[in-house]
Amino acid sequence: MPLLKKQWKCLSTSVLFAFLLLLPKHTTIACIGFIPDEDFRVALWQPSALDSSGHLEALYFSLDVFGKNKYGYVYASAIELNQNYLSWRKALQQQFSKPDFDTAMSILEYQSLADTNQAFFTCNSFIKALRQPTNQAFWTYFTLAKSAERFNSFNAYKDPWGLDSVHSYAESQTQLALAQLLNTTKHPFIQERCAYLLCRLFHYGHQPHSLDSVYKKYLNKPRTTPWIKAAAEYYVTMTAAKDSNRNSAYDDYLEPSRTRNYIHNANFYRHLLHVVSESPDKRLAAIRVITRDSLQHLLPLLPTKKEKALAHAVFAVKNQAHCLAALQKIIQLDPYNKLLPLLLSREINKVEAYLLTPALMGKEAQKEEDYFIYNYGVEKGSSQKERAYAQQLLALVSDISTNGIIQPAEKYLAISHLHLMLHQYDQALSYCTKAMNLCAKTSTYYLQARINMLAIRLQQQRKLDEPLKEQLYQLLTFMDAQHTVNKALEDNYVNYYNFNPSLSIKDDLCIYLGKTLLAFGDVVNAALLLGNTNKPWGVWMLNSPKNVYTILYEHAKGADFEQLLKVLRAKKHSHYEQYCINRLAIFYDYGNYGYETGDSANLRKQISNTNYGQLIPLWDTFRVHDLQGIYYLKQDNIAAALHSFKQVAPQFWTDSAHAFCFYLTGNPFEVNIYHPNEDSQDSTYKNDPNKAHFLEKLMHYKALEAKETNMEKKARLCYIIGNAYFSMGSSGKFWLMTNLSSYETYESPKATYYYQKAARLAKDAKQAAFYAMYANCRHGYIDPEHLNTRLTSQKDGAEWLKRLVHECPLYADFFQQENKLVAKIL
Amino acid sequence: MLQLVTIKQITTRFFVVFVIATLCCFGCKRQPKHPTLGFYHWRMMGNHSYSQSDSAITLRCGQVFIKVMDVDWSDIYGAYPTATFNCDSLFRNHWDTFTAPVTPVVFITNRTLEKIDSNQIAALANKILLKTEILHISTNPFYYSQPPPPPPNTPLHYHALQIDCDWTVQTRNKYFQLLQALKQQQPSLLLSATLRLHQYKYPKQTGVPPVDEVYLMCYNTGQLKSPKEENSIFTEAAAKPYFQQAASYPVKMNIALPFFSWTVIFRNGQFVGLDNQIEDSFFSFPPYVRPLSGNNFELLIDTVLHDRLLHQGDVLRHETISEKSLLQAANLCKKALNQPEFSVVFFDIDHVNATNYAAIEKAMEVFKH
Repeated sequence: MPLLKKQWKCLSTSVLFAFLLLLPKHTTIACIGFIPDEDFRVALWQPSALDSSGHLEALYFSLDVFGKNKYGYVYASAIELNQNYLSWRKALQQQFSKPDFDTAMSILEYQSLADTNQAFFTCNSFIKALRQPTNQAFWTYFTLAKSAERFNSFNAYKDPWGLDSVHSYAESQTQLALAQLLNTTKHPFIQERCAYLLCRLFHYGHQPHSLDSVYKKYLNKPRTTPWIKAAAEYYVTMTAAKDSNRNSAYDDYLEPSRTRNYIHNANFYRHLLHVVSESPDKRLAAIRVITRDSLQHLLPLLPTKKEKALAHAVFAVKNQAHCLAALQKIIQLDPYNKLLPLLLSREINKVEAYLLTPALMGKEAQKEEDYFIYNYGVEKGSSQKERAYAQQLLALVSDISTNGIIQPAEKYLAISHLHLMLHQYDQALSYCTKAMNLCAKTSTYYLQARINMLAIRLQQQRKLDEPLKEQLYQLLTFMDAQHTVNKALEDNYVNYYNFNPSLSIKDDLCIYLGKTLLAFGDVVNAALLLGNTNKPWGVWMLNSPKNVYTILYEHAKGADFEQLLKVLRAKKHSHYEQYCINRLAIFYDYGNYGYETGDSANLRKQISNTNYGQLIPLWDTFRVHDLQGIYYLKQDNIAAALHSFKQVAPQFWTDSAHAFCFYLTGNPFEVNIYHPNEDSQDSTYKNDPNKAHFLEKLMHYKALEAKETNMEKKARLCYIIGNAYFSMGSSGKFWLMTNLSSYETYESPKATYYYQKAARLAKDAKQAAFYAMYANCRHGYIDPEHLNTRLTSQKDGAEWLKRLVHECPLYADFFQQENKLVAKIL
Repeated sequence: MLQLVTIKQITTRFFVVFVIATLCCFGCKRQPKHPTLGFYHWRMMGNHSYSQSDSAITLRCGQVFIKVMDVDWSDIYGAYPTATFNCDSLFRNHWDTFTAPVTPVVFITNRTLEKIDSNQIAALANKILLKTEILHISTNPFYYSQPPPPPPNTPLHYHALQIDCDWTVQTRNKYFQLLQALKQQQPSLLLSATLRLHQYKYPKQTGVPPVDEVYLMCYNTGQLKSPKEENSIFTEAAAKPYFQQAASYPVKMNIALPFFSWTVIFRNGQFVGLDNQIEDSFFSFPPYVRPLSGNNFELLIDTVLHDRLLHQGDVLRHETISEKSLLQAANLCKKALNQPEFSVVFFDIDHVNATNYAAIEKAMEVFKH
């Protein structure tokens, strides 16, 4: 995830305004969720994830904070790209590639357009099509639109002079040229867009009369595309309401205490509510303006029930807490409200976030902040309270009448989904079957129904059997195919956000099923499933996302490893197994299990863009064996661990791309009390990172110790074995033997056991004290501070040992306090 | 007695008159000069970490010329500002030591003047003035964000403006028209322009810019792209002819002296680029370079320097300004002065430090006598 946060802002802004620039047929700022690393909410309910109708996506809570993106940046959907692309193709009647079109849309910086000789102009098929002599008017419009963009928004790349809001600059050559094109063109595509662009220019240039004139003459007609008309209405309304002192921003800058005023009245709000209703393009902007005021102030200004319902809906959109009351009010006032489906879906998403996610997340659920991003203003109730809310919502959805705004299939699906959340699987199955029978197989509701059906069946069976696996395989490949259809999006989203709209539902499905399987104790299938997601499902050390290996490390037992290895090594795989096993991942150098998963094309692009990491199969049997060995070591089953490590090729340990050769260094059978986890004292020792070799040596010492009859020698061997166990712990130099990260704290209790045994066996009291001192170091961690400050000044090995032995009586008191056993020995 | 007194008085008066007359004569011949020390700040990006000693230097500085933008031409956008001043790059932590007044400098390309329509020049002048206002305000550390555009008729917060342009005979008319428009729109503005040596030597052919004062750039005298060139920044031999038989310039003259270094890169005898970030110490590092004749060095390995791939065998000409060259330049430029009060501005402040500041002081001494 290294690229994500840093590059949100610039690309999201550029993408958004690219869409605004050339005005698609239905420019929709869809509410598609971006998934930050630390957000683990599961949204299994995404009925319009792959919708091509251009409606708002009903993901998550707030249109103001789009999707799950807490930083408030906005994203456009695949629909916009497709529709804009298609409308241009239709208008130009020429072929050009979608990636080229997207590139042309995305470029807004005036510097990029400054040089017409650059590759962008010579190689781009869309630009080539535009520059055909027959398309002269389109090319003129394109350059003017690019040129106008610098004046046209607060966030787009502005006028290169930075003077765009100055009255005189709005009356620019661009404005004149646009007006000229508007008057001469007969093509409605260009005419509508020119008129709209002029409206925007006049708005930002504060030319209310010109704005009114263009709006009335060219756009305020019955045949004008409704959303263009409504979007222009937004500018007319806002311009009329602006403070007459248009240039006060400069004075505000120098005198920050000054404030700007807007004129608010009934007409202002009524126009804006009309914009909310009719123009997806300006919906967000209008909502933001309206919600600066309060609902209580707004309602008396609105004469009709429809407008009142819309006002309730607008404020509900901004509300991150439960909105059942608002929904009831909207249904009562205007059951045909266009925002109703969106609000209903979002309430279901809220139930998922506050009821389903904590249950799925297990340990992570202990940390509410991990998934409660919008914790302000939200009542974080108990699961019981959330269940009660889900019941109320279920009652509301059940009573809602299907009227064209809410489709019957959608209603049954919602009921089914809420039953699923409430663990009422029979009812869920019944409504899901009803929904499936009602909707066409090509509709997105059908996809949602398939997803629900799979989830319900899994809950009922409590295992992923072969028929379910086959169904799951069909679903996953279908979603991948949708992703391929929208492949052009990769350039715009995936490289930067690791997010693809058509894959977000797939990710959430995998997480839901994977986490459910984990709860059922099926670690193998959970890991195989979770490996298919781009979305993190938990935090590993240092806030990095968990991967399949950390799941195995945390949950798998000996038999799980065997089962997984059997699947990985099988000569014949089912479709589903093949799908999971062939997953690719970026492997980062110098990390033990530093993987980043994702779809292959995306990963390849990341690699080519960043030269960072390499692309390898996600599943590696050597790594599974390594984790299996670690598991057995923690069970103190050295023989089984050795067997596991022996299955790993020797080159695996010495490969410089892995962490082993960097961390399994020094002599693990010697522990320097001053440098217990460093190998600086062991420069003469030949490093051997092979875990199997280490365990063989350890077993050899154990055998010697068992046979040894000389107590002093036996004690010495115990001390050496104790050192080996200490080295394998998180404070030792061989910590990678039993830990996956250097930030873990696993220590083997066997180290203390062998040190104590050495102390008991040693006849020489001073030598016994020496062993006992190791045994009594706190939690096996040898810290000179815990011994005595007098000792810390003695750092030379032999000299230090002499003094230690000499001064042993001085430590008797220390040991007495720590361990009576030592006092007894002394 | 009276007579004696009278004679004594007369003698005394005569002596006083004589002394005054003599002083006047000497005074006429050797007028006291008052050069003001200044520096150019040309870097647009990055941070300049001024040290304590640098701060001491800046205290003696009488004015700072900050390049705030280039104006270039785009087919789509027309004249547009590029390489604009980044307010974070300058003096953010050292503003208090920079008490000297700031003069914004705008560089305009010849391409812009070639392409722009004459009737757009007044608008361009207005844009330059307003944009400079924004950028000038952003040099003030108390404003941490980019200011919004100023409204029309806003009084400007800067009092002097310098335009830098290597105008040609073809672009002269439009350039002068632009300068006139600037002055017309802001009559109180102290408008200055940079002057190349050839423009100084041949005012009749190149024209005299309609400004309040000019700054004679006594550098870039050689052929940068020629491998045979010894030092393209300045050589006395190359600069001297420009000062021979040059008439007094009709506009108040100030001096700009070189105080920078750069490295010119050649591959197979062809110019491939310029790097102004390679430090002197690089050339005393044997594994990388081998000295050739003069200030030329041969690169011994393939390497990447400041994001540029250099190949083994590339020849690097490291051009610097020695104290001797600086004094030669000062002595030459002195001849061009036409007023007792003038500025001597060094290009640029990035290269000034406590060690080499002595050379600047010596150069300033040249102008005082």
